[in-house]
Amino acid sequence: MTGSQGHRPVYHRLANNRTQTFADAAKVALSAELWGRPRRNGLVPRVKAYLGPLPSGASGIEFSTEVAADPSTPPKTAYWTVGRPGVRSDGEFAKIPVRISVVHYNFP
Amino acid sequence: MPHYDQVPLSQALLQSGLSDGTPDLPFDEPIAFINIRPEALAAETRIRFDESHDDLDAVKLAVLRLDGFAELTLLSHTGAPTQGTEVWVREPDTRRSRALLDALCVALSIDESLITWTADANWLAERRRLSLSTAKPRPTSREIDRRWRGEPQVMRVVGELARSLAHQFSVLLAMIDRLLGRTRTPP
Repeated sequence: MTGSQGHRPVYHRLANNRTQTFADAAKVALSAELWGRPRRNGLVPRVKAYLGPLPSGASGIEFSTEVAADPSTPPKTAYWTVGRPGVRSDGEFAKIPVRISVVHYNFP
Repeated sequence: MPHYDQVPLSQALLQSGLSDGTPDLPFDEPIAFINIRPEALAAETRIRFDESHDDLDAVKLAVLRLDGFAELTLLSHTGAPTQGTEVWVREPDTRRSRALLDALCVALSIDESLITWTADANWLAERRRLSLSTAKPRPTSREIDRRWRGEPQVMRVVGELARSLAHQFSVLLAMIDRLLGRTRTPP
């Protein structure tokens, strides 16, 4: 996975029943915004995703954004921290504008 | 060799996850990535990884306290494209982070060549600035104990004792009522 689509990197979030449900995916697609909350000790909220396209067959969303990710993160992860250019703060949430390219959910 | 202890985490808080905005664990910033899966690390050490989740994915995590250092968290996102173990600290600080990593490697007998990523010093400095500019009051250690590790042991014992006494008292009252041939209507 190169994590790039043209010149703009693509990212993904895997489906889960807590923070990345199909309803969440629909909200992201409709609002064109991805939200992130602080960790328990994270005083600064940030949006979190994995680098690269959604793995084949996996449920989740794939997206790109014009906002540059934080410059130093663990391998194949991407964070957008409030205070960085383009990352909007809204209460306890960090928000970035995104363009969804894939929404894929497997329903039992 | 630096000694380490594992900090026990309560089931309630593991189940509620790491994204509820309660500030109390060393989860502020990743400083390194160790190219060892948590299962392998657990097999080589006496560390036990608990399961929880943050708002990205399910995680496996263990909180350690190293001699002479603040606590740190070993964490692995289960769906991460690159599997391994991240090292998280409470406060981004380049010099302390380096020293902590060195101590961790010695304590867990990890070859430094397995550390395939460390946070950039300039970024840690910027993160520190961002944290300070949006800082909320940090919790006291007592609040941390209460929120994350559950009530202190002594409080749990007192609570159990009180509940047991209340139960025995109600049984005694019922026996007296029965002996006196009275019926008690519930309040």
